[in-house]
Amino acid sequence: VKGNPIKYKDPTGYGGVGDAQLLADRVREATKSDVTKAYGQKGWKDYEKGEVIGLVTGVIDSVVYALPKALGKDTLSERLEQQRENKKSAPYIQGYEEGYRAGETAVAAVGTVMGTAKAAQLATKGPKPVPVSGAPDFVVGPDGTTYPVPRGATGPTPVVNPSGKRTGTAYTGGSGGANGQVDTVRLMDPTPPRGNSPGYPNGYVKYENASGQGVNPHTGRTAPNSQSHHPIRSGE
Amino acid sequence: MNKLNDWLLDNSVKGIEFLEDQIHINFVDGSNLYLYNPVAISRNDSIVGCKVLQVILSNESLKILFETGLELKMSLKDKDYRGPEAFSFRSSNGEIIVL
Repeated sequence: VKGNPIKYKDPTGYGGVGDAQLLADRVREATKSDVTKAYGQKGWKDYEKGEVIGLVTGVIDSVVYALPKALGKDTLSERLEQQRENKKSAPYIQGYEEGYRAGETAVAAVGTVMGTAKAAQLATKGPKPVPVSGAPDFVVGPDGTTYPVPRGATGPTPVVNPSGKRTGTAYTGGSGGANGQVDTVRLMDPTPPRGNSPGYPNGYVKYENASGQGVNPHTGRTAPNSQSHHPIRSGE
Repeated sequence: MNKLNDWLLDNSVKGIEFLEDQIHINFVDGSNLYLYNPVAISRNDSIVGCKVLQVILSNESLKILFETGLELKMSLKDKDYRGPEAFSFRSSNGEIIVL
């Protein structure tokens, strides 16, 4: 029908990809209109360039800096600051931010789909139902070190100090390690050097059994406190 | 606010383990406390079965007072840290409190 704004019609009536695409198209047209109105055609070109670079960077950061981001590192703010220092135009930075957020969302969506698929696959192999945890299979430190998340763990859940301030993030309720006793991985904030502690300027990782005692992440056997904290390295 | 107090008040000790470089106290509600810094106990009595009367947290120490009058005191002075944590606590509902 001429003039009908509906480009996609979902025959099931339940809504689907077509509706989502239509919405996305409308949002994009509105964004283009706003940016062009504010900055002209060149501004829109800049926006699109920034968007592409932001998208790629958002995807890469979400994979490479998964751990620091889980600990609260604001990688987007740092990236935007870099763009300002590099004298990028306002529409470029606006596009960069939108692209970066889209990249982050895409990585999160892929992780969820993979986790769901894996849980479904495992559920068909054994008698025990496997919960869909939403937790990643591993997190990656800034230096590329991967820290496995115990199988079946859920999270993230906050780790707090006695005042209630968040000091870390945990995935709990899993069953990792050779003996299945690795219940939890904690990703903890930096701590200063004090006493016999050398200090953990980038934070540390600790694996625990269900009662909270430190364990070896590979064997699952209990470990002394002195061997329970794995420093996160900066990668520089 | 002292979240540890919220969990330990009126809770009773089910068991205590002296491990290699930490002390593990298990409570009847299923929560667990691991102490990593040096600990002193006011007198040589067992705390098993004792109910917690008060938990006092300061910059210098963590004190747990039991209804029997027994006091467990762990240093929080910088020099007494053996690792990044002084204690960790896992509540019966899975809340994790670390200092």
